[in-house]
Amino acid sequence: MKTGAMALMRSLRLFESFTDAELEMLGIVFRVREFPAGTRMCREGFPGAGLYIIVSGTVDLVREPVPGQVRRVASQGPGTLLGQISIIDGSRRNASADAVNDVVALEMDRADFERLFEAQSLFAYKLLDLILRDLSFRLRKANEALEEIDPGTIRSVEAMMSAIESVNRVLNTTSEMKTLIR
Amino acid sequence: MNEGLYAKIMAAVPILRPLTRPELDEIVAISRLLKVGREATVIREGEIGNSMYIIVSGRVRVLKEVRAGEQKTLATLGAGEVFGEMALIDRYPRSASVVTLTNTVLYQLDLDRFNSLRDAWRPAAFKVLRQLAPVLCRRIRSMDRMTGEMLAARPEKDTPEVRRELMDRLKGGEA
Repeated sequence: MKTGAMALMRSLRLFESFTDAELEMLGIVFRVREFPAGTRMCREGFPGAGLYIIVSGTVDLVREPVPGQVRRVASQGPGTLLGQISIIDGSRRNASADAVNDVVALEMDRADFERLFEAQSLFAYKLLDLILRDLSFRLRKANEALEEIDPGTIRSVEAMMSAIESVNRVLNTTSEMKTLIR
Repeated sequence: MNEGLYAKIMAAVPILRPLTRPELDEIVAISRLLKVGREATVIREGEIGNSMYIIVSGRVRVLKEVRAGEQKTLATLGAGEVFGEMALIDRYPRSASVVTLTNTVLYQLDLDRFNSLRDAWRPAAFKVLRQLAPVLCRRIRSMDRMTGEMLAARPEKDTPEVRRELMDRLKGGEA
């Protein structure tokens, strides 16, 4: 395996309970990807290649619902995952991801995740656990934000739009996983 | 659990199908057997859910409020089928109510007890979670799409009617 991936995996808390031999195995399914500042890591509407664990750098999630109308939906940094929904259900990317500065990430294919899961790998279980905790936190927060939108207190379309925007932002904001990075 | 119920569960419940017999027994072992009479409300739409249910015998109706005070039957479920399964991921508001049609026997599985299997990294728990995960993704994507579309089509006028329309869309399309 590539030594780069091994060194990066050792720097992440997610991998700390694994032996060298197990890391060697996992190293086969992870690739180190480097994205120079300004490059696009994945594209809205395209099939999701896989999951990224961002090790360093900052990534902007952007959408272009209408050509020319670009909206930044969230920004994320080291210790966050990218592509969780795609790796779970194989759906297309719901946003593009741009490297704001130089980004280093570990990348894993969906097929490899499925294979590890079928083999009852503890790593696959840990990854699914992390992804579910992140996604369920987002859905819970979004439901709460939606509950707070009340016709009694919101008295303009402007105010309502900003409330809707905050629901949308919560849905797209990945929490930093303390179990992911040291 | 008898062979008949096991076969019914395997035939009727996609989220439990990947489980081996011992794994299903593991799930059942941490569940409570619950007997309820007819016309009993087992879960109520909008309330925070804490448990999933497996129907051992009897029949239930799944109801959703379509307008204030008006409920629509979405499905009837029988032996071997499950409801309330999203409660195994987190405490969410129930998306529908479930009311018994007949005397009904249920296995009730609480989130806390399921989490004890999850915390121990048991395959039984993760196989079920793997099946539930796409449902969670679908809910996030649908709420994301709805709010995204509303933001892209920002209304130009600001009248009570426009606000009411936005509000209806927001609450009606709830995941």
